[in-house]
Amino acid sequence: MTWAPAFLSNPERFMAFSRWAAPMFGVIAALLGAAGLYFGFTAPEDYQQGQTVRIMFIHVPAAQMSMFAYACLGVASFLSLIFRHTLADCAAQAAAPLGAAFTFLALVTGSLWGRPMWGTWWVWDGRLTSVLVLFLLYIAYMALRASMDDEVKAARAGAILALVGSINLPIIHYSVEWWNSLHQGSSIFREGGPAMPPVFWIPLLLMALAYMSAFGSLWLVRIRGEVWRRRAEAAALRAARR
Amino acid sequence: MSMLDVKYAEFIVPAFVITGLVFAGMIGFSLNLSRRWKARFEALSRAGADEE
Repeated sequence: MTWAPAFLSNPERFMAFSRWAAPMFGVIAALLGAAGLYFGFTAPEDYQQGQTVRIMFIHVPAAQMSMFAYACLGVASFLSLIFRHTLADCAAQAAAPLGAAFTFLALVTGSLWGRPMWGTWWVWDGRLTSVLVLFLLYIAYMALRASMDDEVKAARAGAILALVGSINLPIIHYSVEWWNSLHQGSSIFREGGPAMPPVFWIPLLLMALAYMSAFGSLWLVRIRGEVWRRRAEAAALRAARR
Repeated sequence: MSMLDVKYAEFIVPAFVITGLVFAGMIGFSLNLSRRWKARFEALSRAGADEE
């Protein structure tokens, strides 16, 4: 892992890398997403869930990405807090809106899947409530950053909030084991292999990889935007001093 | 048979539509953020170079 801080320590190298990596991940996401949707919609109905099983192909990757984006936010916040590195702070700031969007998708698509399957839009059980808390953490992070004019103080306060909030990730993951829940446990990454046939887990895997590539692409684009914003503000300050 | 005719279409179709809209929003806002600030930085840099 020594390459990551070294890579992050050089904004010019990052900008050169992200210039081609962001569109490349975008194209990969589009191809994987198209394949995932094709196989998802040509898969047979589930014997219990019928056609609603197709919501799984967009709900599960969104839920995974909501947690992955927060893990990225946490790692970037840690690097920003310890090394005071600007690019790490840019990465943290860029991950938050994307994570919030994926969490929103996980909550909404989960609710639309839960209503016909569970008979309710929402229950205050461990899994659903902890994911709602994750969404609120993203909102709180963005609100905190936006409420402070001093960029350095905002970075530090945001990083502390993000790191404290990361305790929610294992809670989300283990919530279905720790507490009674309508939500099912892990169906893919579990002992004995996936709990579903390849006709379902292959499109699910394709969609998960598509979401991951899409996040990678958009994250890089947003970090670039954040770097440009800070450069523009520095240039505006220099212009004002002249 | 279209997706609109299947059982529970009233839940499946909105799930996919909302996902598409959120993705469109994420792509649009992210590209706009990057392009806007890049253009702003380049304009300020040009103005700075002209003054010097």
